[in-house]
Amino acid sequence: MKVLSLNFLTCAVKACKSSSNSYPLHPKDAELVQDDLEVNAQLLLNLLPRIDWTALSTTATELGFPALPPQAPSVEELQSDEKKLRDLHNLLMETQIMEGKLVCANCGHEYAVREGIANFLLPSHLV
Amino acid sequence: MGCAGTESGMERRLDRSESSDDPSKLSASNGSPSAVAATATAAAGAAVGSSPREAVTLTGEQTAHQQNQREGQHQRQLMHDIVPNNSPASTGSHGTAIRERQDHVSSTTGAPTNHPGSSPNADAGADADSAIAAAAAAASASAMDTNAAESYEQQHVHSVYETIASHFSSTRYKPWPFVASFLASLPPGSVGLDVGCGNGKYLDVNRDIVIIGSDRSANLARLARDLKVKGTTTATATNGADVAGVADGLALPFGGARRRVDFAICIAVVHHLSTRERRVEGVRALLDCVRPRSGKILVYVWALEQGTSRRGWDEGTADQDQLVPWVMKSNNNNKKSKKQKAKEQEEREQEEQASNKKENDEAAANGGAGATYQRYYHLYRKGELEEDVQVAGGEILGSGYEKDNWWVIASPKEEEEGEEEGKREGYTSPSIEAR
Repeated sequence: MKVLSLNFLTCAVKACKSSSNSYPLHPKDAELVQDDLEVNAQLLLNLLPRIDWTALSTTATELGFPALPPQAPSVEELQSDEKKLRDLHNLLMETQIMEGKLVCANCGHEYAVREGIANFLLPSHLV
Repeated sequence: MGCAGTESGMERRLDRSESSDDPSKLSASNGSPSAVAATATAAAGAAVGSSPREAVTLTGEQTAHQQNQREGQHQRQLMHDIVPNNSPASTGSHGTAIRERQDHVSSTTGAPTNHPGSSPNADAGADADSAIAAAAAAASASAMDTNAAESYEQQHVHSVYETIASHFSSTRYKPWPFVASFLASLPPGSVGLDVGCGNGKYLDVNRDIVIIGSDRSANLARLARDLKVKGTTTATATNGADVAGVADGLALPFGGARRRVDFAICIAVVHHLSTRERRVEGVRALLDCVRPRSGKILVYVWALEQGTSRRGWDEGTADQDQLVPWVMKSNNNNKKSKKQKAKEQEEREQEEQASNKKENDEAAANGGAGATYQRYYHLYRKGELEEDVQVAGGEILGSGYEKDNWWVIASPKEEEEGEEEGKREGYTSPSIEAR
């Protein structure tokens, strides 16, 4: 699972859907891999407005990345700064969570991640 | 679009696995417990009634093998049980159809059980016949409680896909043009979901957008990841393609009040839910994932009206609730015939859900050649999908019929938006929800 996806994932528990604590899910004991993908600059620029920067900052810190700037870069900034673009590409597209857990801060449920696949099926008491 | 390249890559992959098939392994697997169990399924497939009531105690942990055995054990009881219990609840003339089919089924299952490899069902042509023979107990569906429905789907949808995943995937590499054109129409930078992504064939159709796939089957989710995320090289990788993991369509780890996406596609999935209530809930779950007003969902389901298809179902002649067999293909044919069949398979891709091509050792290990697995389908009649989408709170933007399927494109209704915006005000996070 790419870090990109984590920016859109929430807790699957119904009761958590309305809670602001259920997003983002928090990686725990995460093992990461880095892919080597060609930068798709246009996709990143188009994607930028859809990224929840606060959540991404939280995720990056929790995964051990250097802290992101408090504000998302502007499209122009990203366009003119290749390093920024590459860093964002590396974080969102090339970094995958292979093993570990994703934890909901609202209900505490831990979703296991194995071989890059998270299991969002809920135990019966949480359905 | 790197679509063509990726696809030919997949075809090469298929060719390789095909040629590396080891016939001795396949024939050996026929004697395996799973193959024997599959025989029970093939015979009991008919017991389609296989009634949700009977399945209540099944858990997600049970293997297809155990379920098949159980089904076999209960087969006789079901034959007695089903008709009296289901008939009163059946809808009009369909009740008769069900009884007739149960009779037909009884005579079939009364026959000695064939070895899977020698079963008539192993033949591709028998597929349609057994589909008819395997008419599901439609009427009972509405009476099911949630647990029973879940157990029924566990048995007749989830565990089947888990078992046939590899074989299924090998027949599913060509995106349906209509779905591809929907994805191509989305603005660059759109972020969306493929709920029930199967082997991920839509994840890299449009490289200018992000699609996050999920599937109820762990094996299919893994295949999607292998094919579209992990196995890709720098040249063919689609940055925007990902597989989040295993998720239930009725409890998706997306959306809610906090985080909406631009679109969600759900292709050939909702028809596997066994009650109308759950099908509506399935559509609602999709609507809950996308932005009010601008968000779009595309839902594709099998049509009842497919008189010109090989299966020949049609209004007035077929029940809307069916168990459709998936037949694992025997691998004893010579290579040429396999290739011919593979080609035919590709041509028929859009018309049918069943296939008979054996692809690899994993499939062989899961079920011997000729093993039959029954999948539950609800066949939508004209207008039904639109009704369900509206009941679920969707505003229909477009709908139609395409090659034996009904489709709808819809957005969450305006009034939901008001409610949604209200909820959002409570949040302090500067969540970017730019449109």
